[in-house]
Amino acid sequence: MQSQHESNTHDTDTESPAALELSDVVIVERVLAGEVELFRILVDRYQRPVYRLGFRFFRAVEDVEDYVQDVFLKAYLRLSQFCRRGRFYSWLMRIAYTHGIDRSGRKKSLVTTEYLDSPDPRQGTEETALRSLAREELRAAVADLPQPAGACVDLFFFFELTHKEVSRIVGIRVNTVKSHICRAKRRLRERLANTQAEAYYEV
Amino acid sequence: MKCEQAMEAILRLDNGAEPDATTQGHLSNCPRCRAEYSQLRRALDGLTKSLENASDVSAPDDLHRRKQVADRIMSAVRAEAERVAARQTDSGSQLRRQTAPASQNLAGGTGWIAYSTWISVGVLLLLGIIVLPYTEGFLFLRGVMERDLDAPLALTLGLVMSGYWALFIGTHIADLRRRLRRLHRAFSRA
Repeated sequence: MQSQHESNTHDTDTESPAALELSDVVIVERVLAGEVELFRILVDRYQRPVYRLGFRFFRAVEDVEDYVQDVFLKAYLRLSQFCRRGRFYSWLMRIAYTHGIDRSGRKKSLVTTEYLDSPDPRQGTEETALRSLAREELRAAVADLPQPAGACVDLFFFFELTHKEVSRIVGIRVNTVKSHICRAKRRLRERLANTQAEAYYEV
Repeated sequence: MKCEQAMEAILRLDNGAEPDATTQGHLSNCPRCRAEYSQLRRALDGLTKSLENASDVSAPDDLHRRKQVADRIMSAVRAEAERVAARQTDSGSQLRRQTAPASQNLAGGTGWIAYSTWISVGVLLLLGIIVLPYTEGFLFLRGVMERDLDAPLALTLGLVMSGYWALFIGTHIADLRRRLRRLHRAFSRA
């Protein structure tokens, strides 16, 4: 049993194209069957969003790194509890969100931090301008809203989770989540309309 | 369908969902709503992607750091997998397997005994040794040996307690180091 486990642990090539194309569910099943090294693919795939969420709870990079490590190890330890019907990503984000609240001692609140925007190759296009406007407005919405409404908006727009997934993560009803998000979208819509009107008058 | 109704349906759309047939019908007939929908979509599509490309960490060796974190995660995962494998082959540890929930062993290796258990056992041990000189058995021993036993007792107390806490620190070294590092950072910031 042990020798088989060990050979699996060290022989799996996680950087081969075939391994990189594996779906999350297949990887989870193979990790549970003993191919521990394949877990690395899941770490590489989802490290960034967990990192970003970490910055909502902690300011120091070292704290965020410890947090990311804990979240993935927790996920590994609970891998057998992963229900294959849902997305692995949303299951992981649930662990990450709960762990963030437990570790940082904050109750259902997220600290929003400013991101450093990367230079976009299509900088100056209307697309980029629209997107940065949306980002700015939604960030302001997250900051203005009381919790857990702010967390709902944050997770929906900046982490691409669905209404149902956000509801499961934050622990509030789907309809409440929907109305928080709808309100944020309405706010964004108004902002977009105003900007358009301003641009019209400037011309 | 009126424009406001169509917009309301659009605002209630989930991530990755498309408008229903009625709303689609309205959009194909109403250029104003169509323009607004397309603008909203362009503003929101790829919002996460643009953030993923952005750097959350100001350090230039961002990618390198992420790789290091991934390496750390994998070595912790490997250690855990080996621990589980060793436990499975160890037939004499039936009881330990039952009493050791895997979820308790987090990064930093807190071991399978909780902090509270370690501390309470330590305190009980200490109290036991302190109370010992006042017990009947000890008084009897003192009477038989006809000499003061304070020095050997203090020596035993010291040895037992040092051994116990050394064992505790040894089994929790990674976690304790992390906690100390965090404490140090907190102090240096303040």
